Amino acid sequence: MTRAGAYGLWVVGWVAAGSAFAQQTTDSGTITLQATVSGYVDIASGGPATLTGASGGAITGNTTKGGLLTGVTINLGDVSPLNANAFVRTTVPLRLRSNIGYSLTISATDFTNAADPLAIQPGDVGFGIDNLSRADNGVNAAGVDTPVAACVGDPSLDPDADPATARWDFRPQKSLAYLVTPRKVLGGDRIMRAVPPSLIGGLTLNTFFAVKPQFFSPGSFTTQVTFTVSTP
Amino acid sequence: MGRLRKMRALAALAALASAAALAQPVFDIGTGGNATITGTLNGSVTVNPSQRVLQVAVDFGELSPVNRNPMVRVSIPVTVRSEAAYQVVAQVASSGMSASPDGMQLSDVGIGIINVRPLSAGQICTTPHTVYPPFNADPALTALQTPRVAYPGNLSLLANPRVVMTGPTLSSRRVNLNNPGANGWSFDLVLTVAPQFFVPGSSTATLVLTISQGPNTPC
Repeated sequence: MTRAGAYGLWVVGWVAAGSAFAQQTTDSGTITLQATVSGYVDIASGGPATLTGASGGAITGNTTKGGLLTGVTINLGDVSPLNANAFVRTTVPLRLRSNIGYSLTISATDFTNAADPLAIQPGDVGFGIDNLSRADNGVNAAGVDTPVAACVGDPSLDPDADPATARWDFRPQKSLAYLVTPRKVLGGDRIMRAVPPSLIGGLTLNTFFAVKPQFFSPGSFTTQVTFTVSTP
Repeated sequence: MGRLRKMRALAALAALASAAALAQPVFDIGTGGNATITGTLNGSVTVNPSQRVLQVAVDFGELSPVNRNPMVRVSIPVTVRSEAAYQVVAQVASSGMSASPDGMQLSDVGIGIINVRPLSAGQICTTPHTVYPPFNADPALTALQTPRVAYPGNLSLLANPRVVMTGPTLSSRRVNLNNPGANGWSFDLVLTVAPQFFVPGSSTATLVLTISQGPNTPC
């Protein structure tokens, strides 16, 4: 009896020792991951703006591709008959980027010197877009862009839209008069592939602004052109 | 007499069973302190405060170009303890990624194991701990731009269970599960994603790390 009791205590002792060191022959942990991607669009310079046919004109605050457009000022110079060129024309390249479908809207606001009908008017400044390209690295080349057809092309290459008047007329949708209220001029599919924003490329296009030197009343004008890219 | 013989036999069996159970080495994985996240916009990393368990929730936040940082980087300290040679297996157990190739994919998430270091009372062996390529580097330092940002070590390689680390015994004495944070080793698990022009949407994934008996590795 005494020996049996001793064995019983010994067994209990082993079991107790085993439970003190719990067995765990494998162990796992989990890391849950989540992320969000919002719709995104941006607009920047597509390269330096250029000015041709100007007399005394200049561009200040010009920038390279990817630079901010804010701060670019274009002085078209003298647009009286002192300037013998057929047109003063400026080309402003744009770069658009998005991870979603986009719209480009342009507006021309705060046009000064409009009271005198013989002074330069918004309708005397031609406007157009052209040369759309998805050729840059990282761009969704299969995407389709749809410009408003009536706004396409360099306005300085168009004929006088109304030869019946002596004043040079741009087509109604190819002058700043059309942009006094914001107008959508372009829309399209997602522009970029899944690439980082440090990449310089994007959808590029040219915007044109042109004035034909004429016997305008002397004076000066200013206007601010705003380009806005947004989701449709 | 017969009863005494039966008790002896029972005692012997119980002793053998206990001894066999004690012979099974313990393997343990947990967390080793605060995790960090950098470069994020509205993101976070939350670690279960109990060091006994590895339970981490990572929210990378906004990954469109609205986030101007070049990379979101998360570093999670992980502790491992073992009474025998071990292996760590990683697997993406589930994921909800974009169906679009231009959406966020598992391959867009870099992963690496760095800074393998002993805790107090960690077993120091002559045989090193081995993290297998391409997971043996900080993905923030090995990113490639193709032009999409790509990582040699990324979650798409873990769609099936994969041994990412092995080594000799991690603990210098018996592993006490109630006393985490010592008697083992620690490493930093690093996860990275670069904000890009991904297709809009949200993505999820669950990464599981499992420690168990590994190939025979002498100390």
